Amino acid sequence: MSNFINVQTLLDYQESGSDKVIEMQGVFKKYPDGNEALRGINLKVDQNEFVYIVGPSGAGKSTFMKLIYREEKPTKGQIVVNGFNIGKLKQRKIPYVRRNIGVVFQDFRLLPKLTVAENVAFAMEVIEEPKKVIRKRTSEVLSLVRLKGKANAYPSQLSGGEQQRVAIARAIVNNPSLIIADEPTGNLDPETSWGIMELLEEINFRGTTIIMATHNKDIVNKMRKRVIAIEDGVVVRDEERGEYGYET
Amino acid sequence: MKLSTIGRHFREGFKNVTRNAWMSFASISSIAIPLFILGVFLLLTSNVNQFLGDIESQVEVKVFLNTEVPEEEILSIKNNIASIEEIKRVTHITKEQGIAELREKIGDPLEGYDGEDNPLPDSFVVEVYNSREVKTAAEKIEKLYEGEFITIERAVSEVVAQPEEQNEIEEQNTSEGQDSTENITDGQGIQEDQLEEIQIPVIESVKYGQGYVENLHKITSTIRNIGFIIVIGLVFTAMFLIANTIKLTIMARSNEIEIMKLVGATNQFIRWPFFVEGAVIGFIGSFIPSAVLYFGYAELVDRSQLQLGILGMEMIPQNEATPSILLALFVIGIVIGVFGSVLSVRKHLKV
Repeated sequence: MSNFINVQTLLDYQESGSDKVIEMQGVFKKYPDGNEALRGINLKVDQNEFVYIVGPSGAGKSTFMKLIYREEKPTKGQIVVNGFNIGKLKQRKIPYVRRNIGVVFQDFRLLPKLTVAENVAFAMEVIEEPKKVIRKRTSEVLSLVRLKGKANAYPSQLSGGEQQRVAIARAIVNNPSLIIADEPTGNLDPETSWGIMELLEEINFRGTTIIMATHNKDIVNKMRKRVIAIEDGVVVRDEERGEYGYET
Repeated sequence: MKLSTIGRHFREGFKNVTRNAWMSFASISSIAIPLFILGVFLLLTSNVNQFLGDIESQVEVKVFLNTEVPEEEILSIKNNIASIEEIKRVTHITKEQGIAELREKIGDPLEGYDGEDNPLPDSFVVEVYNSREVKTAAEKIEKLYEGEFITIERAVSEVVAQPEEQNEIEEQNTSEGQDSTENITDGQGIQEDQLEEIQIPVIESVKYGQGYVENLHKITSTIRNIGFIIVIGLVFTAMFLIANTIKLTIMARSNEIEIMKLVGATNQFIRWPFFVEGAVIGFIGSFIPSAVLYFGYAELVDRSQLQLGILGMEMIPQNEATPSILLALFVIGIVIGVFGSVLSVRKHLKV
């Protein structure tokens, strides 16, 4: 059963002819309530890039992120992520696209009744990895995020920074080519935030593309990366090693 | 799906029951309580049905022959009645049996009414297949001997009072009242020169509790219908309660489902543990009321035996009454548990 779907997924794979992780062409998103969140987005993200998405609240950053992991569907335009045409993706194939994308949220979204190790292993159980692989990979990832000693703790016993590191461990455990982080430092104090950023940078250094929406001026200005500013549903600025560009 | 994955689904399903202990408790209760009430009603209605059946089966037709009908005729009359299609069995109650039965009931005053002095007629107890046909059967019996008379001889100057009175009417009806005194069969204390030949109807009367039976049928069918309506109502109430509780359980876990979807779980994968959990909850939720009903009913039958026995009633014994009802409870419980959870998960999977 699962084998069959994997073959199908491979057949659906569109060779985009480049090493682009994300390609958007004329992407519009209008919600049923009439709110036009995105009004014509064109951009490309290469393999191994680290991209900040900045912009005022309500400018369309979250919608932009949700389109990438197919939480939302574009109303117009084309999005290709890891070679999959997101807009035309069949409902039952969404899970297979998501397995190649790790998602990190401001509010961590851990399962409170599972331990740290179980939370991480959960992402691998879901894709039916063998137990042996799960055990090995979980401990690898936990040592990468420096939480090996807390493997059997519950999320409620951890600090915010630790919880976010568990969430990051869960996001990377399946070796995705892309990580989407929606304000990952939004709930953390500056010092802890830097810890998270260093972790993300290390993951990026190991070859994973990272797209991170943020309001943190300090981080953007000190850890210089590509900055894409979205305002009112359109890209108003896109520069390598850019600045935050907004007053906080 | 891999075998280890199936194992995981079952493990997770069971674990979820204990992890969300309070929610599980609520779901189990909302299955157990309506099922318990349902079980009580099912037992109650099946017992009421049994009582009513008992009462109905006691409905029978009594055919009283004329006292003068000679014994050799009785068997052929009996066979004629028995050949009516609605009739199941005809039992002959002889005069002697009749007086003996009566004597058992009232005793002493009947001393000495034996043999020739026995004033009772021969009678038949007629059982019908279906108590609703008792009236038809009675009418058919009446029709069978309508206008048929037997000719007997008897002494005009008979001094014994009772037969005299009984036959007064018949005497008026008979056209050939007077006849010769040629045929002398037997005497036995009757003056031989004063015999007469008269015709009397074979069947004196047919009784089946007219009116009473019709009312009984009205009452029994009303009670059955009411019981049926109550049971249907309870089934729907139980389903509604359970579906609601499971919906709440799943809303409380929408977080979990959302995360599963984010990390790339297929809908099938998400659904299975809920399926198992629903079945487990349904099983426990029907096991509790079943156990209570099983042992409770046995106890009730035990304790009520004496009192009900006096009333001539009997409860359905436990080993006959409970198995089918418990099976029904288990099936309903598990089906509701599974469907409730699967339907509620489905709603959350649409993103």
